[in-house]
Amino acid sequence: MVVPVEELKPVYLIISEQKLLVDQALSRLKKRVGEIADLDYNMNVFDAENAVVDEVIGASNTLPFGSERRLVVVRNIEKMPKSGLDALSEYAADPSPTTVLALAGEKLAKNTRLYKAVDRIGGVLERKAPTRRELPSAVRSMFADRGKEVSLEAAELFVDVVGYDLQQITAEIEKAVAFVGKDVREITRADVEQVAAATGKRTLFDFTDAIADRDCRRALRLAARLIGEGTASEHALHAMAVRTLRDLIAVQSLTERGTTNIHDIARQMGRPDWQIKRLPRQARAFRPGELVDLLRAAARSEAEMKTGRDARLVLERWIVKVCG
Amino acid sequence: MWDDLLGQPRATRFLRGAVESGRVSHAYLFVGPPGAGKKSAAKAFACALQCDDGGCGACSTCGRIRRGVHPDVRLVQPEGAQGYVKEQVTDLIRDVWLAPVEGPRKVYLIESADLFNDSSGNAFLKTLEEPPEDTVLVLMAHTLDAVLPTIVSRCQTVRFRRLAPSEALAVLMEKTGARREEASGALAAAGGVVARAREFLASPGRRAARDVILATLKDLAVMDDLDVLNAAKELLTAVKAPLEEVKAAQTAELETRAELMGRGSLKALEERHKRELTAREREGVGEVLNVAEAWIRDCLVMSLSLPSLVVNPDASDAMVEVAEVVTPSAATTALAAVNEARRRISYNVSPQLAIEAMLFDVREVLRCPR
Repeated sequence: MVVPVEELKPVYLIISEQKLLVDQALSRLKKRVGEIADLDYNMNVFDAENAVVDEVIGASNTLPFGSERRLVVVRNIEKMPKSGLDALSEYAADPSPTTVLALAGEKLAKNTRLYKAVDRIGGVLERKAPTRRELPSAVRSMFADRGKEVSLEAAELFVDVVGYDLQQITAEIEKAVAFVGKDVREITRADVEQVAAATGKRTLFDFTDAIADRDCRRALRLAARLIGEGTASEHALHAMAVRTLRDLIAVQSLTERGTTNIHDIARQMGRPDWQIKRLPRQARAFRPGELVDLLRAAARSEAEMKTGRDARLVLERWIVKVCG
Repeated sequence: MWDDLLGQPRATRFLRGAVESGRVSHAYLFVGPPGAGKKSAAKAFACALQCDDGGCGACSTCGRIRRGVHPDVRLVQPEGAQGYVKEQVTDLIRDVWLAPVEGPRKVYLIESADLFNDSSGNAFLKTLEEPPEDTVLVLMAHTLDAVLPTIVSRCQTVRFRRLAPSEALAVLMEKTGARREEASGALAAAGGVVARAREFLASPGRRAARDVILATLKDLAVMDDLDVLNAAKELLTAVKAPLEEVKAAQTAELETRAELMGRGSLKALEERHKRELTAREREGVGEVLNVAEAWIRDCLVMSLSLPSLVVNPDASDAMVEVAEVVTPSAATTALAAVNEARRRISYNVSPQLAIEAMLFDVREVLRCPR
């Protein structure tokens, strides 16, 4: 869809935690402005980390040369000092009509003056990244864009191996597509295993997260992978999952006691906020008393694991029980 | 050191007489039920044999024997899952023939002599019959019948009798000067073993752990889930606190050893210290479980109007409420939960998880005690 020239906003704020999405939005904007302007003469790019804000505003107030519009891009807007943001928000209140100023970055708080000022003229573009749950299907459609088919299972494995960073995912997808060549349509699990480079940092945490999410498929898959590659033993995984159960129990009890503010919960548990922010929602998925029953089941299964039963089978059965 | 031997006048007299008259046999078999004091007696005997003052209990020799680090007094325990393994016995036989390091003779304290099987037992027989002159072997077992007859016939048997609870209590009170409630609580925590109860009374840390479990049980019925988790954590902290004393002793020992023999020789000792700490921690957890068991049992006997059988009278105010409503079958369920925790810990389940599960089980019983 082509945006008519008159609907191009004078200021855009392009925000996403995924750098790839920011880049995509910027390149679309550049393409659009490029249709009505000769960008060789009418574009400036700044990096907020070392840009002088007066130069940015100066470039924005310059008239276009032989074109209808100028494009000024400021990247990494989150690194701009406060004084710079204030100067930009003043500019946004009364922008030059012949310039498109694109401010791009990872984040900018909604309560800042700049955000409000740009929002007023309708120039805020926030690009939400697909959630972890959505990523595998996003990966499938990204493969589909390149004319390749991939099963959901292989896509899940792909996400497991590559991680959640879209830019990295795109790079690995290009690699996989090049690896199978243009004659092959389907990309299999084996291809993914061969091509994708394991980053392997987040997986232990992801495992406990899957447990808390009661996502049985993901928990079992990650457990199998962690055990398979020797990152963790069955016993270690069990112990970590038990710790997660304890956290969930704590959050559930605190919520029942009337502590609902995440910050208060974190303080009472002696943890930083970010570590527990997902727990209240996750704890709600368990019935009252269910977590305690699962903890008791954990004691039973640990005894089984340590008395020579097939430890992996015991762990998996317990995981299935937890994910219910 | 003979004072460590409680309630066993005959055995004490016999062993003392042997040492004092200089007619020490080459092999003894101490037989008696668990808690009768065989190991304390064996250590006291070893002290009497090694110490210049006939087992004063105060010198470095006695101290090291007590801590199990004297080079000429070796404590031997079965290393196999089912008992003594043959390699262990071969090693022992070779060791017996080495000369003593410090003292006049060497003493081997061999636990669980009933766990020698035919092959390991037979390998040992020749040595048991005719050890070198400077060697004394002290074997220990619960019953005579369980020990291979070929072993029994080569040893002088010393019988240790079972102490009746009232007797154990009296002995403990006499030796420690503790009040009746204190002593009976300590005995309950120590599983009826007088020597252990005595250590328990002397250790403020271990008594504090008892107080923590009693306080937990008192409030357990009204605790929410998080309270229970925190109580389990607190309990384990309390159990670990007395270990600091052990650690301090170990550090001192390491330093002395480093001075004498250089850093290179420390690895084995450090390994042993680590094992000792784990064992002590287990023992501490075991004590806490003993207290919990005794508390539930007290509630049960109170509900049956038998207050004289209560062993934790200092905690009786909290039990009254429970005793009013608890049924024998509910109490049995709770006792089974404690037992289960003990079993799990013996399988190496993390003590925290085992205790949490136990507390949740007991809480369920206390909330609905019928």
